[in-house]
Amino acid sequence: MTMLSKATYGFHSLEKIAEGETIIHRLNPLTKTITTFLYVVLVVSFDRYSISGLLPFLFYPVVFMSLGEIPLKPLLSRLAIALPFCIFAGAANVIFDQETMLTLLGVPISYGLVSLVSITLKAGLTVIAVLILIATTKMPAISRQLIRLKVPTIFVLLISMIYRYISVALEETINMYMAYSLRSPRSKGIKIKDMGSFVGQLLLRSFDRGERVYFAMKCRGFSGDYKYVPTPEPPALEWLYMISFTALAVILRLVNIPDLISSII
Amino acid sequence: MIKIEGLKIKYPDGNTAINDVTLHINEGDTVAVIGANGAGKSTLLMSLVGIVPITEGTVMVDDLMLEKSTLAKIRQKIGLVFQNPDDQLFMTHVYEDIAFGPRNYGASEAEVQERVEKVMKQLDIKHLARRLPSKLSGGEKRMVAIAGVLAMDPVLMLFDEPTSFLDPRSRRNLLPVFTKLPVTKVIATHDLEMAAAICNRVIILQNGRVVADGIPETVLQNKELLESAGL
Repeated sequence: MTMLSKATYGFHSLEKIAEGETIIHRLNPLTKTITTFLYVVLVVSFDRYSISGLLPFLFYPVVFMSLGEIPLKPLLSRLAIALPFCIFAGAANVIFDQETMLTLLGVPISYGLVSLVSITLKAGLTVIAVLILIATTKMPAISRQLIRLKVPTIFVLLISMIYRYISVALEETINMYMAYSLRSPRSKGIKIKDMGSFVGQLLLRSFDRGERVYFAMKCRGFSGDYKYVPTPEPPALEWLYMISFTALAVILRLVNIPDLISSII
Repeated sequence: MIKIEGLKIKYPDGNTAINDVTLHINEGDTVAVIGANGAGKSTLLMSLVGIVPITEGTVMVDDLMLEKSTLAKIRQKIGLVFQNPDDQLFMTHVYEDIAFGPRNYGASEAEVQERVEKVMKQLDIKHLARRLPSKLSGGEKRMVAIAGVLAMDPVLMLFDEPTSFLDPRSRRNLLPVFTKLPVTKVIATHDLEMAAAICNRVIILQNGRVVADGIPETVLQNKELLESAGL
């Protein structure tokens, strides 16, 4: 349970980093949201056997993290949560796609293995890009930009609500687990036979809370719209930055720089 | 201000939570609704803002009959502060949460800012504006929840167990806030000491019925009555 407790305390640490005053923090939220979205789309658009083409995209996290003074540790700890899911998904390729793609130092490398590395790299880059956005922009500002970019209100509300209530849900889980451990001192973790009722209770409590939150929203005039304060347009210099960023990212997507360099050498 | 006539609320499981309640609440009143657990206090408050449907009877708020078509207007006039502030603080930051109500009721951004700043100053919570609700103490959460409702400029505020989840100091700090609030207040509570300190009228509910209604000095001195009502 220490892991859950740590997660609760550390959950909003990126929010603290987002209060910084660096050049990246000062960029208009719309600029950061658009560039992050573009970056994610371009990284995901590579085919499943691309590795070398993805490497130049490391420029984004390196530059943004150093200019934004974002420490590596909180990003890596969050990335470590997401990566196992991607690795698990990619592992199936290693099993089902065993045809040899190339031989490296006498070791045959299968298509499946290459695609696993590619999926992991893509997941790593996209998750880090989103984490950098969160670490340099406050959540309400991101929500506003998503609405502005015509993302459906319901999705934006869902993201905001999850962000707000995940720590409450974690606290509730910890409390229930403590109560469980006190009456079951010899067991390590929750016994399988108790797991159903434990998770069921948690779900029922979440439903109850969800209902109460909805009532509280209705009492304050909520009618399904996300009302927000309009943010100023990005200044001309930032539009120039966005155009340059787009041009550079598109070039990196279309031209495989590492392949080009190796062919010249 | 509020006229409740013959109110009856029956839950789908057949349990009658409120039974034939008739009450008139006047402007400027601070009314304590006390009763044992399950007496119907929270149900009564929630019925006044249309969260719990009325089975029989009528509720009039400033000549507006409580019904589906008037619900939005009534909810603008009556603010409900929930028992658990975590249910009510659903926005990601304190400022955004306090601004939620005024924005939904169509106030301009300048007006929203003015109202939010006014209530934060009034409740002395200006320093919390940029904080995350999840990082506030119980007392701070309670204050922000009150601010969120107060920013809607209601004429009547309903409080469901406002001193629950509070330590003694936060509870002490809350009492002067209540006396300063410039609206009519109905407070559902178990806290008899608070009822005696800040209310000018006390109503006792027992099994969904009003068994006593009077000034605190009379009602709260009647030990036999309190005992029989499970208090």
